[in-house]
Order: sequence, then C-alpha cells, then structure tokens
Amino acid sequence: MGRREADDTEFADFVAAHEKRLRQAFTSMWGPDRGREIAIDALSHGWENWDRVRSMDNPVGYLYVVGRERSSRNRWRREQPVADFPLPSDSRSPWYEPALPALLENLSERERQVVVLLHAFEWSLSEVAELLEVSKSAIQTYADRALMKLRSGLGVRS
Amino acid sequence: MTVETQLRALGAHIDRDQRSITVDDIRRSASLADSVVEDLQFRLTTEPNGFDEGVDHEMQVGVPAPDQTAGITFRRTSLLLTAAAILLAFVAGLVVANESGDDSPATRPATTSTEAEPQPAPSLDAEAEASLSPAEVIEEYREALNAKDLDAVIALFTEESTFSGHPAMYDGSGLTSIRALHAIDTAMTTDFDAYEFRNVETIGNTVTWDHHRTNADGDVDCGEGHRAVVDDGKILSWTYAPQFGEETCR
Repeated sequence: MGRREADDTEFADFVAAHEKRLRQAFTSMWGPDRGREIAIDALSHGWENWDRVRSMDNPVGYLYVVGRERSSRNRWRREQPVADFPLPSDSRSPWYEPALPALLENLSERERQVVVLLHAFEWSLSEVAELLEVSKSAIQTYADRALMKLRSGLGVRS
Repeated sequence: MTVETQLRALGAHIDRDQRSITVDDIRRSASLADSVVEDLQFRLTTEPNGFDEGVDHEMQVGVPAPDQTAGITFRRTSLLLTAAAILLAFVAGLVVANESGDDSPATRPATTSTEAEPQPAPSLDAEAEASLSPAEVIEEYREALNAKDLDAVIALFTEESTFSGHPAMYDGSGLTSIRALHAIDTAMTTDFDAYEFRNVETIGNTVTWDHHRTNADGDVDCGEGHRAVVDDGKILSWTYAPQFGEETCR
C-alpha cells in the first residue's frame, strides 16, 4: 500500500494511546463483545485513512462517530441491536447482582452509555459530555434517570 | 452494596476479560475484509450473475486471511460489521491498482489468469436505451434488481457513474464498485420480495423515488429519497435514500 514506516509507527502509537477509550465508548453501548468489534472496525477506518485522520483536531471523536454510524446505519441488520453485558461468571469476578446486566440492557441506549461510562469505567462528566457532544447537565440527567431505574430494578435504595 | 459499586464491579469484570485492541487486530480485520472482497470478485468473475440464491446466512470465503489455514465462514452479523470496512479495503485496492497498475495479491481479484473480467451485457441495445426517459431508466433498474440480473443492472451505469450515501459502501464510482455494491446487496437480502419503487418523480434529468420491500418474516426494507441523475439512458449518479431502515418504514 506504500504506507511509510513512520506512519505505521505513528498509527501504532495512536492505537496504544486511544484504543481503550474507543473500546469503552462502544462497550458502554453494546457490551464487551460487540463493543470491541465496533472499535476494531472504527480503528480499521482510521488505519485506511490515516493520512486524513491524523491531521484532525479530534481523531478519537471522529472515529467514535464512524463506529457509531456504521453500527447503526446497517439496513441489513434486521434484528434490533441488543446490548449484551456479562454475568458475574466466577469467583474471580468482582461481585454484582446477576440481574444488573439485564437491567442495563433494558435502559435506553443513551442512559446505558452514560451510566456505564460514568460508573463502570469511571469517566468524568466532562469526558462523557465531550464524547456524546451534550452538556454536562444533560449527562447528569441521563445518569440520574439510569441509576433510578437500576435501583428500582434491583430493589435497593442506594 | 450500592448500584454505583456494582457498576464498578461490572466495569472491572469487563476490563479483566476484554482484550486490548492491537494493530495486528486492526490489520487482521482489514485482511478479512480484503478476503471478503476477493471472494466477492471471484464470484463476480466465475458466476455469471455474481451470487446464487443460496448465499444468505453464511458465505464460505475461500481466500484465507494471513493467520488462517482454511476457508473462513462468515456469519451474516460478522459480515455486516465489516461491510463498511469492505468499501475501504475495496476502494483502496482499486485506487492503488488503477494508479500504479499494481497486480499484487492485495489488489488483484482472486481469478486465474485464464479468467477474463466479465463484460457488462446490455439489457437493451444502445439506441433503445438512449431513448428511454429518466423515469423509464429507473423502472428498468427496478426490473433488473428484481430479476437479480446483475449484468442488466450494470448496463444502466457507466464507468463514470457515481454513488453516494450507501449504508455499507458509502461513496464510490465505476462499474466494478457498482457491481460489487449490488452483488453484496443481493446476497444479503435474498429472502426479500421484489422491490417496489414508490413516489417516483422526475424533474429534468433527476429522478427521485422511495423503495419498499418485505420478506416472509414481515421484515421491511425501505428507503425514502433515492435520487439519480440520468442521461442518455444511463444512471450518471445515484444518491442512496437518506432515510432508510425500519424506523422509516413504520
């Protein structure tokens, strides 16, 4: 493809620095398996278009939009995309209620994304707001609503 | 235990089990997309009309990726997730091949030396085609799609024809890309009934329409606002419906 070695190195550095953020962004929407696949797909786009992507002000934000659009724009995906979060599988896993994954999957996409990024992956309000391009107050509203639904579903007060 | 604490536990579980993405993963993904495209081009050159009816839920890809030793079975979902990557690999390969005359395996269709590129077989003679109105050309296009006659579809385009906004292949041009686009579309939706084109309107050389079709399961595929510029019986540009999918159909 004629790609210069320096470009490869630069792209490898980019992946090392940002893949976790992209992976978590898509995982918060669809769970770890599909989230990782979409992140790879978005990064593949970055690799194929590195000359253009590298000069962008916010390449991570751009690749997030690429992945999000590709995952939602597929008209051949007849079934409604379903989020799939793991059950606590073994004693090595930190404990959480087995009902939690299903409750997350029943939240709206935006509520799920916000609450997972904020509380599971411990992003800041500002980071989530920047990714989703909405205000911090809107993020807080989504988070409060999601937590309320989760508390109700789990039958806990806090 | 609070909900927030449980969410942190879930996050730790995911962090523990989810593998990081490496450059090799990304390259492998692109290689798989290349393999799909090579297989697609192989089918286009060896099967008279691109795809048979049996290609639906799985397709056997006979060109192994670098880390594979045997053919790979792509399930529909995996193929869908890489559909857009196919475009990138495909177009990138075409650009390189066109610009450099590169005949490397990465850009060469998976054909033998004795296999020639298929030549589009016009569905009408040139004079009759040129006399068709723009709306009639789009009706020819619909009929060719419903007949799954890829050659007839391609005969309505030119090497300079462009498409844009396609859900899987985005933007592109040329008969090879247009053939690939329609072959993928046909292969992925073999169980759907015939296309209906609705609200067909013509202004000058520009035709707009909506498409609608269903399958036996009641799934609906539709799109609103296709736009094509037609001249001399050929579709010069086609912009895919900006509104499509089940939300649009309801």
